[in-house]
Amino acid sequence: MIIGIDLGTTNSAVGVWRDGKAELVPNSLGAVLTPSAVGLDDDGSLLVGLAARERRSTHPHLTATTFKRYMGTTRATRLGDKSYSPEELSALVLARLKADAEAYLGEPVREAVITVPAYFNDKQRKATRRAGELAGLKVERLLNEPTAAALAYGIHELADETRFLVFDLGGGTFDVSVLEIFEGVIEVRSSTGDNRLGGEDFNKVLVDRMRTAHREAFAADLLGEALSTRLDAAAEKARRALTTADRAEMAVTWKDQAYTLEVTAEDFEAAAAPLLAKLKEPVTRALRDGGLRPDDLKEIILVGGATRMPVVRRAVTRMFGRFPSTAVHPDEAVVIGAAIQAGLKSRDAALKDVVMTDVCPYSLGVDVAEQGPGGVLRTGIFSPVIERNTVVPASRSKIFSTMQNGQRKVLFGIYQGEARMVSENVRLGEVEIPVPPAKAGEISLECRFSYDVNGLIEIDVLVPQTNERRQLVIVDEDDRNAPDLEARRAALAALKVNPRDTDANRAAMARAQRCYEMFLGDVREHVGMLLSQFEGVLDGQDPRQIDAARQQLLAALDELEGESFL
Amino acid sequence: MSHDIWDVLGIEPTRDRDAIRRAYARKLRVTNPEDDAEGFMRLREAHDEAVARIDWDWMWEEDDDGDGDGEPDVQAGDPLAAAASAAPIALATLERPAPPSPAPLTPEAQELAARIERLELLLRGQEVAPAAELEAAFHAVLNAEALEQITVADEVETRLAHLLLETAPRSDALLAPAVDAFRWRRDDLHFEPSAAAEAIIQRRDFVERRDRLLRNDDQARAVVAVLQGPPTAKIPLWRRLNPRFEIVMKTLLERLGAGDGVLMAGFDAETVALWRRRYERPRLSSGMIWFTLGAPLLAPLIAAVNNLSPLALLAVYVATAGVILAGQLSYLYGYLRLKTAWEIHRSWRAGALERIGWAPLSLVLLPVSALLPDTLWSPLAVTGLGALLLAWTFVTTDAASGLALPLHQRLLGQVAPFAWALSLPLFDVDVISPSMILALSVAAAVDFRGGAQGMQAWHLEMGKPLRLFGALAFLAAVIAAGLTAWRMTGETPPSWAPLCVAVILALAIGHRLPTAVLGEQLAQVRYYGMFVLFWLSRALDAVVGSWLVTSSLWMLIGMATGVVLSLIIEARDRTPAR
Repeated sequence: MIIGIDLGTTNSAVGVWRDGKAELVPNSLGAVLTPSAVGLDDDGSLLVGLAARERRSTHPHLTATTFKRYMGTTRATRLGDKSYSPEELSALVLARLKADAEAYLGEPVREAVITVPAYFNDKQRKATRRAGELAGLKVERLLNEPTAAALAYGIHELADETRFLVFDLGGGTFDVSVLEIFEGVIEVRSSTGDNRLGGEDFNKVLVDRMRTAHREAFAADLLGEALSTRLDAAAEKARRALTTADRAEMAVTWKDQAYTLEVTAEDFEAAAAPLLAKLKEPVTRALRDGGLRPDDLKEIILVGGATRMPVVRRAVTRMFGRFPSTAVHPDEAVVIGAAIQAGLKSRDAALKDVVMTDVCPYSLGVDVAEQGPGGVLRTGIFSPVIERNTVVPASRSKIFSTMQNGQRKVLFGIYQGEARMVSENVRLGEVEIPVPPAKAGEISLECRFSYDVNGLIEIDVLVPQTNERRQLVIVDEDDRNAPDLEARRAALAALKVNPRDTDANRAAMARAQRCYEMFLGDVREHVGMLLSQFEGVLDGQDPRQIDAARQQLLAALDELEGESFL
Repeated sequence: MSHDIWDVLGIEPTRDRDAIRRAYARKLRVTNPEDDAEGFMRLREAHDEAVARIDWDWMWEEDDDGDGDGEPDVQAGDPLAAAASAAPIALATLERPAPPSPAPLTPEAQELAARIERLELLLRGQEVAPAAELEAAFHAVLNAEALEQITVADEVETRLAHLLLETAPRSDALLAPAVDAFRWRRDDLHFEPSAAAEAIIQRRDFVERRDRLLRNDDQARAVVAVLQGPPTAKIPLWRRLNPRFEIVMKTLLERLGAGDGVLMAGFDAETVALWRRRYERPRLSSGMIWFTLGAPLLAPLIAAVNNLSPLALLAVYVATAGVILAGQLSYLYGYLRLKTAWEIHRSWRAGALERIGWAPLSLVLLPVSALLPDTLWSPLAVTGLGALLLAWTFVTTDAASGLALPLHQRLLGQVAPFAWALSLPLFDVDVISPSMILALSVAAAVDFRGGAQGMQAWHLEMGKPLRLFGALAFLAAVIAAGLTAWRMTGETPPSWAPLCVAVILALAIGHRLPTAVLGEQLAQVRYYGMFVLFWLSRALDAVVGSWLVTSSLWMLIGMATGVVLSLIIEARDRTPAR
């Protein structure tokens, strides 16, 4: 059985294709979404999911969130006395999702389709694949998130001939894809995005307002992580409240003092204007690359939790002069698409006539030098070999020639991006190849780029005159030796992670503790009482009683702080 | 493989897009990207090619069986790309886009339309509107709410582009805000601005540069005044002899020619045409005239050493100037043919000389000149040899090719050795002869012209350790030569000091080759080397006073002047490329 996983910045989810439809797998708490959070519990074991997320504001130094933003980098997060790379943290989340799926299906799971933002580069994709392997999953396919969402929508529209746009604003990334469905083929025509824009940035807008409003009180701790996680949580809550209400109150308890700020929807919209302006460029680019006008689109599909925000919906409505579609569930579309792709991969009978083609969302190429006016040599110019939005898999080659008389070797720097100068693009690696000495321009080199369905790249350079050939499969240090990966997997598996069956209790406890710190005075005492009552029941170890007590506790907390948003 | 694309698709050749898409979709069931990557790539290429061929009219008319294997992209291509590449964009050829369809307008759209109308009125009206009012009206359009809709924004973008272009030069102040607002100049490989936007960018850059020049440069003001005035206006000779006037004039004429209609707004077409004709003919540049007048001064100076009469001095001066003028004229008229002949007959393996360039030979000339006896014939011999070398360098190398460097870097290599050499006589050090100064000039000129490209290329091939070794060897050689010169000074007979000084000079000039390749960094190493030399001699001075110490100080000053000069030139050159 192949499972489909949406590994998100804020939340993750897992689904399967079974009996001709996509099913969402609930986690041990009965919810579809599992927060992408990893934390260290007081007893030294690891918490994954809601329990960790709940402890973020009370134990900021023991909780890791939004690590997907650092995927593909070596940035380490310290939890207690161990540090974890972004891919290890992701692996812990993936392992939890895998366990959920195994519990739901009642059989072991070994293969998965994992979604990645379309704009993830080669390094980030490789890191995601490694995270899957560290979690004991063979990653059958890396699927672009907007493509997954499009699959979830398109699977019901196969009979039609239609074109639509997927607008995917998630927690940390923004992707836009333009798709066409014809003759049962789902074809991505163009895909673009901004991998540094998402719901978290909108939170920051509110956090900044709060910080300015209480500048004196927060002055001493402005850089502290403890305060900023609390502010983040308050901002997230207020932002969600603004989805339905005109005004919301941001409340933060800091050093036993309550600080509040009332935000109106208009204020928020005005403050978020610079972010909203950033949404337009990728949309126009995707349309231009796809060769379509806004009027050609049948629907605009909103995907990603952040598209729930009325300000974003209004911005989209203004952009297209009409209302976007809400045909798919913004949080679940990607995981449903991943499940469908898993079904495609396992050649499910219900999907045998569905074919989907995706594109490479960015250009790939090499750096070249050019003779400018006045004989000045301009180096570092980007020459794309695979243009962006080429249908994948693709293999393209381009001929280059030597620059100087008697040149002995040629060094190709491999880059990804759209800027004219390589310095503005992402460097992926380099290939060096010797050439026979000759006059400048007499030696030609054929440089071939291959890009597979998973978005992974291979480069092949050939000198026809000498038949010399060099290959570059872009590998990171971590990927180079498999035994190392095996050892890391074993080390990760050996970590003590809190078991699934006590997860719900741990999460409830964590939430109660957070509430305890958040409220002051009588309410705090009341929460303290609820907490000790619950602890008493936990000590009794009677599962039925514990379940009942947990429901009670959560209901009481719901009453105090409104429904949990996590 | 182009002929069997229809086999891959499994259909007869057709121009029906839907049929191609259907066939592609059908085949996709069998060769899908998941299972058969190779097969899919073939299928996709066939599909793309088939779709591209729909627009190749020539192919369907002449060659209907679909196996045309001709040159695909010569005649293919969309009209936009063709329009963009057709060199001069004349105002008249840019068609105004059709006005937006008169659909029922929303209040926002009405407001936008009103704002655009107001802007148009200000730009086209009889009276010239004040800049502030113009800008306010322009920003009112940009801030209109209706502009957030993508389709509207597209239409308005095109409309504004044409409006701004048609109302140049009155709209000049709005060009920069427009380019910024619509991000016409964005760093994106795949973004091709419309022809109008391209023209606006061109005009904006031009206006910006022109205004900057007009603010700072008296000569530029004069040039612009000339080009804007009537063709009959007189220009004083002293202005025309000013190299700066000439450079600005040439650049401006070139720019105006490139932009054609777009940039001509505000200039007098007839005057521009007249001046262009003048500068297109072979013409003694102001630099050449100054050289003709100035260079022969050296000859009487040399002759003066030999106690010639004033009349004879004048004769020498006139004769030399005549020879130089003849050389200049033959350069203007005959040089091109000589150069073409060289281009045709050479092969790159032709000889070691071309490969390493002419610089080494000119450097050898320096020590040779130091060994020549101090008579009238030595400078003449050096001049003759040097002239040959120089002429040959002009023919065989192209200043604008290979690794030729920016002007400031080239100057950098020449100032210091000259400063040092010319300062030596100030300290009563009798080591510099006129021949050496001449040889130094030749070496500098050959180097300046780019005669050392081959050597630079060779240097580039060396590994890093070798290059570092070269730099160190250079320093060692300079110090060794310096020390020898110091020890030898005053010895009779014979003194080798002049030879050592010549070697130092040759090294100082020749060392530009590696620095050219390695850039500023190694150039700095050289300056540090001079520091070392200076301090070393300083330490020696404590033991024995010597001319070397004082003159090294001068060398240092020369180096510093070179650095400052290069910085100044570089700062001035830092104008946006293109």
